[in-house]
Amino acid sequence: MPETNPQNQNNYQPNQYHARRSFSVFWPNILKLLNFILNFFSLKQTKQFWGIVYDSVSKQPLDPVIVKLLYIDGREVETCVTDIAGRYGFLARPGKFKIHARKTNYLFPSKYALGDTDGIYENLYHGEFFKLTEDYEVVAPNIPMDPAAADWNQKAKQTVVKKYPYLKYLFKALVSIFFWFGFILDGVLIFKTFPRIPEVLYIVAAVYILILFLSTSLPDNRLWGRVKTKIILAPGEYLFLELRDAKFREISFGKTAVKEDGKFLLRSNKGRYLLLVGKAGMNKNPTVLASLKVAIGSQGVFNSTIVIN
Amino acid sequence: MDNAIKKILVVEDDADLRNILIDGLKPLNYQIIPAEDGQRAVELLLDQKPDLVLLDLLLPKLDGFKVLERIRQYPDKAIAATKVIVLSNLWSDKDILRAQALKVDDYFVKANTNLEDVFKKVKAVLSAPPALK
Repeated sequence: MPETNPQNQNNYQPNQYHARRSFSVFWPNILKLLNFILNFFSLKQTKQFWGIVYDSVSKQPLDPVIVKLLYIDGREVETCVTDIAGRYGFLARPGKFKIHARKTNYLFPSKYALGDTDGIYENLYHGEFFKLTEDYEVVAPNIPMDPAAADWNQKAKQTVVKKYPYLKYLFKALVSIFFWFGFILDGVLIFKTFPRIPEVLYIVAAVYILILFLSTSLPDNRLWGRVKTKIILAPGEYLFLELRDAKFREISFGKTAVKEDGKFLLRSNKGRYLLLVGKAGMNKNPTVLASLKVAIGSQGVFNSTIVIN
Repeated sequence: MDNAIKKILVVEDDADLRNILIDGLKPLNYQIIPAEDGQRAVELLLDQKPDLVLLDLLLPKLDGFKVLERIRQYPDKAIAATKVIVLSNLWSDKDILRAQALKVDDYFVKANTNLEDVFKKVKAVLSAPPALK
């Protein structure tokens, strides 16, 4: 493809700065692993990186849905379009907001999926106002929408992407049953073998106690990434991050502005990418300052700390 | 210099997104021709001969790849050389390679794109000098 896109015609000066992932990634990765284990056993509902807009009847993700984050007076803060898996998310400052979702042949707010959960999805949103108190919190509730008419796009998409939310729910329920069955069985065996309790039963009990302790005390994964830099920006300038496919470098697979405190929210599908770090501003051509090879896992989020110097 | 108002064929089956694209392109002083499916897109392409096609790939009746193939294989060289920008949520390597083989001018993933970037690209493609035929 010819390189005529202003988005692709960044002043490319990647050697001007050096970008690297922060070395202090040990704890976040351990945290991620522990939260994954707890979530696997249904012992902890971990915070979501992304909200999902879905069909309240079929539970399939919807796309393209235009999702708007609005101030209480109706002014627009940010707009995004859901991806093929129905995902979206915002990073917002303290204030009072509401979300509006719009898709042809679908109605919002849902009248079918009421309450905070529908058994498959948690943390449901129905158009109510909400207040954020922390700086740059991730806003990503799940949004059910009711089908109003047959939607060709949704049917066709199932040949490309088909989700099985009920199977996932069933799998999680079975894992949870096995977990608690093991816990009770261990207790019964300890009781029956008392006072000559085999060591293995002690070890199993200790592991269970540790897991249960972690499920109540372990902090959540960090949902956002952060840029640490001493680059001085002129008034109106901001840093941005852009993911380019490792093979098709002219195609953008995700772009986000870095907030004043360095936080960012950047999503893409699982894969290997070239991350461009650049600066842009009003009436100024974007300039790429540094680049870095990165990999994104199945959670579809890049939330590392990037150091630029 | 060609001062005629340039025509853009916007092919998107989702009416809400189609309207957002039309609303975003209108202030740039182009003539916008909307199409809700691939078959209608081909009809309008032959009838209106747009300067650029903004094309979704998952489309009713005739998918976006087939629309692209019809454009590129058309005997009229001017139609076969129509500029095309893909705006789709499909982002597999296979889809991108297929679109590249059909000589698209750019490929945007809807969910990862600020629509302002798409409008800037449209402007850049339409203001670029025509390719030698």
